[in-house]
Amino acid sequence: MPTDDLTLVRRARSGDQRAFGLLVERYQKKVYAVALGMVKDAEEARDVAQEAFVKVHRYLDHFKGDSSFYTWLYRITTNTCIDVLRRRGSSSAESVEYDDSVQMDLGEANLGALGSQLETNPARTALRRELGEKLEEALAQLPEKHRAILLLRELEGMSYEDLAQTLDIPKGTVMSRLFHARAKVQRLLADYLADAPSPPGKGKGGPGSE
Amino acid sequence: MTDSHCTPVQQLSAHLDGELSPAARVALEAHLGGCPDCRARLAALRSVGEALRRRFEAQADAADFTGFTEGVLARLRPHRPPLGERLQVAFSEWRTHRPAVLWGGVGLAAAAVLAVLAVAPLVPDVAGEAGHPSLQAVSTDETAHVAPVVLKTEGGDAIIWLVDHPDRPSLSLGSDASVPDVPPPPAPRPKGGEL
Amino acid sequence: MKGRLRAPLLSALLLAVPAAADGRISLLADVVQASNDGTGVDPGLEKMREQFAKSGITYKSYRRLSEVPLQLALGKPAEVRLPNGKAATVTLLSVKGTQSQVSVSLPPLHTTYTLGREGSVYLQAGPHAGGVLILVLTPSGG
Repeated sequence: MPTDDLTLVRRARSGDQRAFGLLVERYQKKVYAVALGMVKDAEEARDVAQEAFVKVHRYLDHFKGDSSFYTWLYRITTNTCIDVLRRRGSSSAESVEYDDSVQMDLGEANLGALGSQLETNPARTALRRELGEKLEEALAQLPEKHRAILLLRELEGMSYEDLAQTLDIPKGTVMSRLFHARAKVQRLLADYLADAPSPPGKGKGGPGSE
Repeated sequence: MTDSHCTPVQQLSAHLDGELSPAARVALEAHLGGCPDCRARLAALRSVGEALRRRFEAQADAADFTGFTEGVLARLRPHRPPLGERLQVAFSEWRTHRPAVLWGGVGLAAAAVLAVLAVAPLVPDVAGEAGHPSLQAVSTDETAHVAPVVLKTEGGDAIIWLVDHPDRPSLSLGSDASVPDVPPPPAPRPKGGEL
Repeated sequence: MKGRLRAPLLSALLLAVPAAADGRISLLADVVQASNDGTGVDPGLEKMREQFAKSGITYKSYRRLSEVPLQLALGKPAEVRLPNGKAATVTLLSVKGTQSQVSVSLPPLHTTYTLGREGSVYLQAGPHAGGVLILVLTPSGG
């Protein structure tokens, strides 16, 4: 059976559950990875990922085929994650519009050091592990839309074109939102690394308050 | 404090994603060749991305997806009953045994008629009894990859359901037409009662 | 007539003989949505739920979306539109005394059957809004 996405979608739409199952298997890991980045908790991420596929199935009739299945799937995934986060009460969605247009002080002073540390000590697993943990914490402090775009770009390698389609924003906004998301993560990381063993600086500009 | 670096970080970010125009890219790469500061900044951007990827992809790779698809299917609002699996089995049994009991007592219409009898309580045909409906013919369009399933309720009503059937054979009952192999039932579905 | 689909009542009801000498019959077409969204079962559909459950189709909720009386005459098909965009065409094929034969086309499904004085035919009409649509055809006295 030909296995390109659109064929499977077409068959799934006409009631072929086996075809739908194949679509799930094809994308489950990727959807899960994005969900994990968004909601942080592994069990919740699995639940959210399944829920995203349930919604895909429910709305299969509405998928017009005018976008790729791939971006449509990620749109549903991202929205499902954002819904879950809002229900949790950890929403900081309001700040995104402000950020997209504002020039930020990036505090890049420490970043060169960060870069060279990782470049020159790739085998420093302790540093890497710490970076990974700090990274997760930094990510959790981003507003959901910044988190989403960063994850889709870094985990999925989505082009700006696909990102624009998935997030339903103009390409120019993709560029600026992504850059702001990266800058924010770097600033948060720089804070963590500068503070060393102390907990994330909640007083510094306030997490998620930008 | 203003951004005093030579290359705006927006540009580095776009470069990282391969989204600079060819001209801009060439210019930037030329600049990077002679600017350790910008190189370090680019490297920092890149390492964060790689660290993100490592972190979440590793976790996703390590995760156990056993039962994930089944979990999704179990949560679907079904438009086919769990009976579907039993009926596909019944269909292959029909194919082997060709039970003589058919609907209506009246001969089924010729070619392209497909009726599958459920294994579930088979009520003997009550054609015409007490004026209940009796089916003469049931068929589905070949293009649809579904097969009809006929169920008779205790009250004498008739339910015509549709189940998946990717290779829908056309049968004329009562003849020796050979029937293509029925594909095996799909992955286990939720047991009856749990939809 | 809410009791129409309740079998105990049905057996007690004296439904008018559906076939009339002038080649017309009356059917009632119900469009029902079965789903697992909640447990609401509309009045008159409880028997349907029960019958379906005994046959192995175990939805929890049955909602009547529409109810349309059909007057069928020989050579004049009636159409029932469903909310999922499908249309069912019901045609009276023949009338012989008390027996009438009807064909229903609800793509991709087609069926021909002899009408009883009582009892319904349920046709699965495809998914809709998280559940499945079912077309129910029942002879009516009117």
